[in-house]
Amino acid sequence: MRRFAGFFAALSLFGWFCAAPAWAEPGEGRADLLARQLKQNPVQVTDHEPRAIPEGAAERIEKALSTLGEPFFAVVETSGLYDMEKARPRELIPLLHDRLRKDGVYLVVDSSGSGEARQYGGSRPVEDAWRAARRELPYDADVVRHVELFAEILRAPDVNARIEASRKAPEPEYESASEKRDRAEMTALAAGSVLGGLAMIILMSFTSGRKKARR
Amino acid sequence: MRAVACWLAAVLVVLLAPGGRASADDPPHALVRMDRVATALNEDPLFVDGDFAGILDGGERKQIRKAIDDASASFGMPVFVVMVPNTRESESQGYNDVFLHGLHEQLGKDGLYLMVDQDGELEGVPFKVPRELGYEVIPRALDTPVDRRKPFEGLASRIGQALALAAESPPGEPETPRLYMTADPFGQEDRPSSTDEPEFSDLFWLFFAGLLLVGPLVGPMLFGLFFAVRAVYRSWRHPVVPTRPRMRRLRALADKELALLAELLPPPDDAPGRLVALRSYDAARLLSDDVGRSPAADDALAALDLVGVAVLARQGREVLEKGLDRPLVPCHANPLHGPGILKRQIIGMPQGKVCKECAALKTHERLHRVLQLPGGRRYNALEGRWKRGFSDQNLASRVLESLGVE
Repeated sequence: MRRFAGFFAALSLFGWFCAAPAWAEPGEGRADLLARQLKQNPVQVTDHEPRAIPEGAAERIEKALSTLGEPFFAVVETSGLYDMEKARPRELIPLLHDRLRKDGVYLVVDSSGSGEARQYGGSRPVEDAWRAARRELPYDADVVRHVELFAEILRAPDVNARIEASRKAPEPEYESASEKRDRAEMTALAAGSVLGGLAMIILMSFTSGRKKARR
Repeated sequence: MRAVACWLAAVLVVLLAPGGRASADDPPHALVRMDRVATALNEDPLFVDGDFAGILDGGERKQIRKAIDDASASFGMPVFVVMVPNTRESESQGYNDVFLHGLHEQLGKDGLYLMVDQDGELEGVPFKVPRELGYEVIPRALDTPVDRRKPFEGLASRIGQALALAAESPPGEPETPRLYMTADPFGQEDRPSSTDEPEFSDLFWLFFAGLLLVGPLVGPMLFGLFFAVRAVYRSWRHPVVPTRPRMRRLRALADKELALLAELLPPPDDAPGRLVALRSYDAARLLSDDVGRSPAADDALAALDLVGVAVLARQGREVLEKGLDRPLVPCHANPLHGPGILKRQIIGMPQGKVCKECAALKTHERLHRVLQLPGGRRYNALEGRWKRGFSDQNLASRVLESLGVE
């Protein structure tokens, strides 16, 4: 028996080492917290970005997604957290599904609309629909507009045709405030130049015409 | 007196104006999270936002709490540590000190406020803390993470060190550092400066600059360019025959005319001007060979011979192309112009027929179109075989004679 004691000691030490990483897990993580919150309310919107997310965003998102006629879980994250581990929508959605254990449409996006949609227990083209909504909306559209358009695309009679049409359509143009200003200023300069130049040309052709006539 | 009171009131308003909070016009949801954080801080001086759940483990939290307690005991004032994301889209527009000032206002408690954002950056603001903390509460070595890719590694020890340093600092006047920046009002963030909006005065001055500066400069340039392009186009369509051609150009012209005539040879047997054409070609060829490939640039006789080559070759070509039996006489003003058809007077020259263009001119203008040779003399002023000019229907025979052929 005694010669096994060393073996058992080594075995228990090995087991302790194996278990060590589990101990380092620091309690409730972000996915756990979000899953717990989603159980109470299927739409979770960050309050860290009030400048990008309009007031009443959660209610409007819930209203838009409830038209889909199936369970949904939507998270609007704080943007710029992607550097953190397990913060990417692609990684977060499976974690949330793992904890909630419910089928439905999962949507994890940030305040600019960048993110992912996935469906568990169904075959709707939600990923393509989200991309189509992203493509169709201008650069400065808020996340609620994105979700509303996303739901609208999915409600279309022929979803795939709708997405295909969106793919072929040209991208909407976006003009920032400074671009608008530049355009206005350049127009003013061009208008002035054309007027000044025309006046000069008329003057010159008039004088040269008189010179010719005199000769 | 009243004016002074007004001034004092204005100065006081400027000095006492709240710095950190967003402005009064901001929407009601602007301060939701500030309220949430302040409410939580009333219960617990360490606040970790849900976005950062799971980043600090129990040991690290314990370490931070101990540092908070130590510093708080040292100051005799509360110490708050807040771990919260603060992006460009937050009510503070990502300025951590603006956030802490707003939080202080919301909470209404003086003390040392520390915050960590999503990049692991540390910011501290002391509100009436009786210490000489200087300009930077957090030393430069501690305010950013060691490795930017792991923003929260060693965070607890960074916070611990920062709080310990603050606790050790010498006593001083309880002051609040001034906030030098504020967040923009909501809905006006897309303009980092006021220059983003087109201003009427800017537009007016640009219009004026275009009217008085750019237009008057560019307009005449385009005007001149138009005429230059038109002149080039016209000279390409109708090559201008120069009044004082250079030798090289005469040589090229003579070669070209000779080649054009050579293409038509031998003439068909039934051509009426068959013999004339052959004779012209012979005379032109012999004359051309006589001048040589590259005569001196100032050799007036050689130049005149080359004019003769061109005229003879052209006469031969015209006879064949137009089916004539006698050659056409060239323009009396400048034999290179083309056939002379109308009798016109040219001052200082015998009577002769000139081309259509020369005929349309006034007498004194026609004078300027007379062909001049190197040296500036008129073509008919030279002694030699061309003394009688080119107005002769038997030009070829005369040239051959003068060359000693026949």
